[in-house]
Amino acid sequence: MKGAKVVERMNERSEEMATEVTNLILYGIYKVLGAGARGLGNSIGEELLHAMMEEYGLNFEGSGDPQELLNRFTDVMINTFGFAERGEIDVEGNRVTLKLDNPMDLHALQLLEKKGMKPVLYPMANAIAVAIKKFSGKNVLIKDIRVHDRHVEVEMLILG
Amino acid sequence: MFENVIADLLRVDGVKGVAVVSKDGLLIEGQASDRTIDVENVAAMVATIYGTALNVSKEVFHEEAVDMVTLESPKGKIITVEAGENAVLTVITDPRVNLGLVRIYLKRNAQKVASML
Repeated sequence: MKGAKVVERMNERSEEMATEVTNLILYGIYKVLGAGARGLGNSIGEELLHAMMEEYGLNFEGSGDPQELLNRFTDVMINTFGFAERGEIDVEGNRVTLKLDNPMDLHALQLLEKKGMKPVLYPMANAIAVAIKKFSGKNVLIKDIRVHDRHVEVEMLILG
Repeated sequence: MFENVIADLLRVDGVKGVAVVSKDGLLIEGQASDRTIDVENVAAMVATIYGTALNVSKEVFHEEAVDMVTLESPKGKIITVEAGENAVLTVITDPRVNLGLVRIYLKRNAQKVASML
């Protein structure tokens, strides 16, 4: 049997569907790699930061202070990308907690938890870690990702 | 931060590279005698291999715990151990390295890294 069929899009592209597909890809990666997915975090963070700087013209240069970088990054994440409804940064010594209300990937993370898989990577936090390393030279460890009903909390540790 | 750990491991005959890597794949500190090795790239891969090994252990042995992950190639070995909750310590070696000795040094230094993170 041989043939060809061309299907042309008649409706508007559904961003919701695109997000859902991305969420399912994330779920698939977690399912096979489990804790191994965590190792992908830094590379994903690098690519995300690169895209934010090169493709969207965002400039983090000149901000060598990790606290200032965190503030600027969160501002961009919320106001430019609309990644979450609200972001809150809590700093206590070298321990930072980033709280995001209703982030875009909340559903994917809840799906993982429902299947008994603890989320081990968080691309936005990984991008923050890469930015801090790049501009202040400090290493950042992502200690914990906590998923709640309406928000996500990412706990990070800035190394000396 | 981990200069002493790296220097101690590089003293072992046959060890060509050492890296302290976060489990997120971030190279915290590392050194390789072979300049063709992209240590940052290898760091991300090592973290993924270690994490995936944990997942295999969970699936097969119903326990997410791995003492050591060894990758053996005809050209050399890569040995990785856990260094605390958030990092791993890895070495790249010649194929004929004294494995017993490397393991002792790795374990000892992994404890030092863990205590510092």
